[in-house]
Amino acid sequence: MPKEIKIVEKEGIKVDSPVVIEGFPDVGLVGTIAASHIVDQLGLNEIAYIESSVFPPVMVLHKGILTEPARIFGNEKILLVTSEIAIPPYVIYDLAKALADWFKKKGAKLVISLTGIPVQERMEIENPMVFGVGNGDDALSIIKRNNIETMEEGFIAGIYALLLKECLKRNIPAIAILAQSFLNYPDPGAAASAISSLNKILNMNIDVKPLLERADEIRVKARDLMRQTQGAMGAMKKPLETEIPLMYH
Amino acid sequence: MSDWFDEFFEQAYNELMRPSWDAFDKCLVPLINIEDREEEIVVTVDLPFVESKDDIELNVTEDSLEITAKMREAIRWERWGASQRYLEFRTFRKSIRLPEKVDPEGSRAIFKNGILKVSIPKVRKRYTIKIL
Repeated sequence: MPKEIKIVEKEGIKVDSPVVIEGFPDVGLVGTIAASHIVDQLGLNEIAYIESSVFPPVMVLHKGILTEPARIFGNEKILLVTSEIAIPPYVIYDLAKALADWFKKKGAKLVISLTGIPVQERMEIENPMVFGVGNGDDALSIIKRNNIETMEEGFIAGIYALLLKECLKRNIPAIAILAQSFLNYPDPGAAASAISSLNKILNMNIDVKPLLERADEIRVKARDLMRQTQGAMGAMKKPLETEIPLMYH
Repeated sequence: MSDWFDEFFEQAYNELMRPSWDAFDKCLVPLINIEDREEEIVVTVDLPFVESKDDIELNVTEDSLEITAKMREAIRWERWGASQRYLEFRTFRKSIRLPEKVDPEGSRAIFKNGILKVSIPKVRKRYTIKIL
């Protein structure tokens, strides 16, 4: 049975063919770290939150103000979806559908998920490489036009994989930006690489220097979210992302 | 399934339920990953704010690994959580029960970009079987 998921908008939000950026907790918390930095750098305001009776019974306090853990920030041209708690695996199918419906309703012209792809030798990598996955010809041409290497073979798992699919069903071009990352450790370096690719696609100039300067602080603060996310990732078949699929032509 | 398997998952569950810090000892519990390879156990540890290998102490026995690492500056949380306490941490500390008996003397470790990697060889007796 579909789980009830509501996107509750604040009054008076106006959007005009926005680009959606998604950064949920996942491999190396790449999406969440990147999303948080983008909100800071672009000064995005909270415009909506995601409510569901199947989310953990958790609220977050920031400077004494009660907030929902899964929120949407934005302005007229950009919507950014993120969460401060791990998304339970049993919710992700319905969450992906609810979000894709909402993106369609808002007239989104492109959806970009920022996430990590685990690599065993991450410790040896100074500048993580980025790979792109598109949900169709339009999305793939955006990836190629911006000289981002496409992922040709492999499994992808998690909410971004479902968002690619659900957006395709609704004719919304969607891209996943996957930065080489630690699987189980918060990875600000990978988040910086993902943002650099986002800059190319959206022709923006989000400065990643402050993110890299605060890398140690972010790694300490993100430990508990990483621990929560580790539990969820196992159930989402994340280890599959390091496996080779049966190839056929 | 073995008792170790059950115990491992119970330990993993308990780990999630336990706070990731100890206010009395002023230490944080680091994130760790244990990889059980054929010939060795590989433990990696995330140690932000740890400057160099000289700030890390490692003690290995045949079935355990203890890691203590000093941070280059204290981490402070103010007005955080229900207790609204001022919390300060200066050290990472973690004891790990290893899934198999190891040879502590053959252990080696590297520390790079705030990540510690410890490789500890397993104690393995090998016999060659003659096919009749």
